[in-house]
Amino acid sequence: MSFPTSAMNELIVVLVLVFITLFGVAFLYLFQFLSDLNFWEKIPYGFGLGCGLLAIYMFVLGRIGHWQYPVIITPLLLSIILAIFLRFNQIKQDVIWRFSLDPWDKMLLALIFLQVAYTGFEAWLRPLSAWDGWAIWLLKAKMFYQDGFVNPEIYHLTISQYPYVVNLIGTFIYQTLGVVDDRAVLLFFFFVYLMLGLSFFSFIKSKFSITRSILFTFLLLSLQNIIRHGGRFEAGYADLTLGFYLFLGFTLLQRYLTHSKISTLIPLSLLMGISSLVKEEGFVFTAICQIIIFYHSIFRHKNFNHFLISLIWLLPYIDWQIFKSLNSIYINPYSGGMLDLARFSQIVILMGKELAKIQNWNFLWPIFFLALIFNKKNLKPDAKLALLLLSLQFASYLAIFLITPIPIQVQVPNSFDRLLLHLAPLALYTIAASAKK
Amino acid sequence: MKAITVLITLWFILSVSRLGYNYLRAFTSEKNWIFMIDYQKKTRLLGDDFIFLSNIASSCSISSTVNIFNPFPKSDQKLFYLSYYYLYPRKLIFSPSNVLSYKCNE
Repeated sequence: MSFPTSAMNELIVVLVLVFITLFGVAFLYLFQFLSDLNFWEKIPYGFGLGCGLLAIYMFVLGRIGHWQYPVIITPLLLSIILAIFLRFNQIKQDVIWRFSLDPWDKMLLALIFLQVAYTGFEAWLRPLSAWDGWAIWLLKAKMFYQDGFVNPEIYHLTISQYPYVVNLIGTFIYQTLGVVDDRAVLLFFFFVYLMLGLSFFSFIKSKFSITRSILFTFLLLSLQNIIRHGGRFEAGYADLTLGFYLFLGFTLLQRYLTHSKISTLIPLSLLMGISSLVKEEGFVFTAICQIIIFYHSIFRHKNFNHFLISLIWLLPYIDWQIFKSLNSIYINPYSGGMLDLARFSQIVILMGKELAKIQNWNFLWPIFFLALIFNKKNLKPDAKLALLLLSLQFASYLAIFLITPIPIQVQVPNSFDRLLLHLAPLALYTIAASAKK
Repeated sequence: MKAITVLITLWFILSVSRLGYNYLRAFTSEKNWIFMIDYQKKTRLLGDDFIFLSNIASSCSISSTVNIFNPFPKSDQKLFYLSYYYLYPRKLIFSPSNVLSYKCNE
């Protein structure tokens, strides 16, 4: 068993994650996607797309044969070089991001930096301890690294069929390090935390005042459950990662419904595909988005081309399903379960207990429900969209609890706090959007 | 509306207080973690299972088959997954036994 402890590993992981982000940003610049966003606003989308596209690429390569590191990084490096070469003037202009801060804003920004620094310290401090980390996500990352390819036997050994994005980012990090370092790799989850904050801030700032943006970003990043998954003890679960992708997907869906541009639709569809390959709950979100896009493109605008383009996400998703089918990887988590409406009231009570847990969520959920009841007249279309996505996703979790064969007293307390991570950024955005000035 | 504003204000105050508490904790109870080596940290986080698996990893080669005799082989999911995490690519066989032990077959 190897126990690498060099601080060099942490620095290399940070550089790897920056490299992946730059690849994603380069991808956006090369194809002129999201061209009205500046460089800094593109960064969270670059990170999300970069991680997802890299994972998809490694998944394809990893089934043909053993990974060759130069073959993996060459296209990423070429994309960055090409983007700098072809889009240099545009990037030079986009790097400028000016906004004025009053003393209150500066104080709030200082609080955000302190909060981020604390979470980063926690991510660095301890090795992997999260159950799902060593049982699912980083377990397979390690196994794929040790085997050198996507070994289907691993899914049978570990009795799991979870999708591969988080696994393969971990594998890529280990390949770059040349060793398994299950402390350094947790910086990936800290980066997700960071990018969630950046994407949340830049999206709210595009719609509301700078003060509101900074305040609500601080409130998001200081939620104890998000801090835990971003670095403190529960780094290693994939739920914050899925919450990040769901929020990114919401922002692009909202942009697309407003402007109906292909330059938004393509990255949106890619993010939908990536979301469905982070965790299986991501597929629910993807399906909801697809139905909305279908309604918007066909019924409202009669644009069949847009509808076809929106189906890009199906390519990696179907590829994953074919892989599972060819290798007989199918575990039915609901085997033995049946719809039991009698447990509905018990589920609601257990859910309510989690929603009211101040130590996990502060006052997020009580304020969210109050805002729905008393401020619904203030809700603009984008907040209504966030609410629609959140409600349907929430309903799917309720349906799972009604069907699962696992006793409700075990299932709900064990999983609902993590499922809420998928929805927390959307809920907080709804609150921020409904609050009067 | 006033109730929401009051709650958001309370939320903000709670968050700032919690941030302060977290920093206090980082400088007091958590600073010990900085001076621990990796093995000590993992033992503290994962307990006796980690020590048991460390012993297997140091005594059984990568190509060996390891029989893990476990009092609770089917219900002990933690040991099952931790074993694969720390011992793969060794082949693992889990068997019931009264005492937790192991045997390497090279």
